[in-house]
Amino acid sequence: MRGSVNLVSRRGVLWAVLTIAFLISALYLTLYLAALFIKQTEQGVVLALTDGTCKMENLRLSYNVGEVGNYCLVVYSHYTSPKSFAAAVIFNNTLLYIFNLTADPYKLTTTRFTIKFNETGTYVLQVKLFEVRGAKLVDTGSAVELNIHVG
Amino acid sequence: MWANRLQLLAVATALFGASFIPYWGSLAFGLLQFTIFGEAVQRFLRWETKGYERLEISAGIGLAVMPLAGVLCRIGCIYWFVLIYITTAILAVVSKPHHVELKLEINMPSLVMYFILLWISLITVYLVRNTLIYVLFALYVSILLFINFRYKSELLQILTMIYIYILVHAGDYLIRIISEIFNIAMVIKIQTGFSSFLGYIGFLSIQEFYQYNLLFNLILLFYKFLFMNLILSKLFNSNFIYKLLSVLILANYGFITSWLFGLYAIYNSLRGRTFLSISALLLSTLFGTRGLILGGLPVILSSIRGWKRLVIVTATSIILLVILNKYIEINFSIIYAFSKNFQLNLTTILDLIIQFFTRNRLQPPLDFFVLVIAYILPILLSLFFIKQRNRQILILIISTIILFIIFGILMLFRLSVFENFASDIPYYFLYPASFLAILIISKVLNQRFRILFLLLIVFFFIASIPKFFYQLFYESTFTNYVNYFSLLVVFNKVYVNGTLLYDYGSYPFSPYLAVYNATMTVEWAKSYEYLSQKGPIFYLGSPAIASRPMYFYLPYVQKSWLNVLRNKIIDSGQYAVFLLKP
Repeated sequence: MRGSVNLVSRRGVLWAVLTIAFLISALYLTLYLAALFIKQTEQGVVLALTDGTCKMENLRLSYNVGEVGNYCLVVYSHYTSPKSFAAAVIFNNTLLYIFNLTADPYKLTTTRFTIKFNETGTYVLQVKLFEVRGAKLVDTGSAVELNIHVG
Repeated sequence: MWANRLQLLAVATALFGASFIPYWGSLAFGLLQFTIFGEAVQRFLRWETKGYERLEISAGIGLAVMPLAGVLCRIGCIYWFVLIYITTAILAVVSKPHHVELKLEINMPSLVMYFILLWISLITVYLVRNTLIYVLFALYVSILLFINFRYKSELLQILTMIYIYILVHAGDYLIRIISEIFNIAMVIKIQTGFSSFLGYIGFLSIQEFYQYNLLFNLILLFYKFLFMNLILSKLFNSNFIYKLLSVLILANYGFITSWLFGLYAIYNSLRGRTFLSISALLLSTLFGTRGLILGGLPVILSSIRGWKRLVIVTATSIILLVILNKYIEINFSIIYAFSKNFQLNLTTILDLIIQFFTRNRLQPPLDFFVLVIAYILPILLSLFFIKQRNRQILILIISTIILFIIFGILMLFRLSVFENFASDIPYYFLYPASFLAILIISKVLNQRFRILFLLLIVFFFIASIPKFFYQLFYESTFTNYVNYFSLLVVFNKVYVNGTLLYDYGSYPFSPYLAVYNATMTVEWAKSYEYLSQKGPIFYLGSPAIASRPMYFYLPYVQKSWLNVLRNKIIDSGQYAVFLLKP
């Protein structure tokens, strides 16, 4: 179809408005579709370690002996379907917890846990996230490390 | 007789009412300000323009009144909306109706092919993250050029220019749309130095009214390109190849409206209209400095004829300096600080020379040199015409040479003395020099050289890609935008109060980070301030960024920032969120 729209006199302005509205909307929708495609293509997960209230601002990094540290694991999945994950909490090279969690697409999943600090020293608190595929655990590459000082 | 007036009034009223609908209202308001308002003004002034030119002039009128929006939006953009509507309504009613022809050529097959190509290109950007992208883009541009020559349509030409701009700035548009999908709030902080750019503030204020949505952003882009097509058509006698080259050269220049009015100033100056050219130059400074850099020299040099014009030029220069005072004060404070401490003695100069030649600096990638060569090529070509006796061409050549020399000096400053000198500043002078060179060539050469310029277009396009390519996939330290936005979603939930630092690599995301009381660590030299900061500090970025071979990263900056990281890092995650020691 090749044609020219002759927009003369009375209807001219209205047609001009509609033509421009159509072009801008087409440009917008093209970009939007491309972005949707990208969103569908790229999938993954984000892991964060925060304080017991699941906020980052009160995250403590030094404790006295005998104190209990409250932590919260935050997982945000941008997979397009629900996925099963396993989060391993390792303190001072010792596996403390393994949490099994199901992350829904584009939603935050939180898991709280505590650690009692019995001895003085500087320790590494590490959290690693694995994807559960049948009986296998596949490393997602998402990990967080905290250096904790117990005095 | 009244039907014509009432029809315009009815369209304006409907669009004004629709402007208040969330999100899609931005489309209605865009149409009101950039089409209907301009149409009413043209009817009032009884301008007999036709077809796309009429729409393009309307877009120009809508853009020109933006500084007023910048003023009124300080008390509330709603006042600006009302003012635009009332003015349109009054002009529509008082104008004497006359026959207006709006003949718009629309070629559907070419439009469909265009949108398919745009879609494929955007997906390619994302999926192909290696040098193969250059070859693919060369292919796409060739296809698009073929479509343009097969179906000659002014609309397609405008859309092709938008295509090139969107691809060179894919970062901007992709992150905006992905942020909409992820529903991430966006805030833009207006820097102190920009307070005199009322037009720019006007744009931002209305964008803020519509919550910085992508749609309004595209509306602005579309109308800017309508106006751009008008000016470029006039400058290059509607030669599409030159128009494309101009867009490619100026696509990275930023502050489009400012350089558009700068171009308009050049056009008027070439036609000998001093008053109009100086007015356009002044108007351009209300949108940024780009117009002044681009059009300042040609306009001022051609205006100096007789004492009356000399007075006008001097007065203009004083007004420009007053308008730009704050901007100059802030952006050139480094030069001021340097000149204040600089001692003109042999030891200092020798030290500087030794420092310049012996400093262990990062080498930019090959792509960077390709980009600079592409810009210099037209400048070298234009020098062949230095023997021309035409005064206008001589003025353009002199302006090009001066701009290029300024680029060279600033580049040397950047490489030697001012290691923390903002990286883009030298290029503000290279892009316009290259554009003026194309203008000179277009005035001298004829159509026989079309093939040469077609090749130049493809070369320029390929050369422009790395800049955005680096920005998109390397500079930001994150593997892709979707991961980055997911991180921001998490951050939004877990971060409450404190200061968020983010590195220069995250620059494209700065509007999104602004909501977190974020500070961009591009002010590297000031990083020691963060060491003494109280309260929680979060850093978004990667310590590995300092080792990346990017030309933006300067040695001093790296040392300074590494110092911060080494001393303060206590926590890191996969996506490089660090908690720094308070």
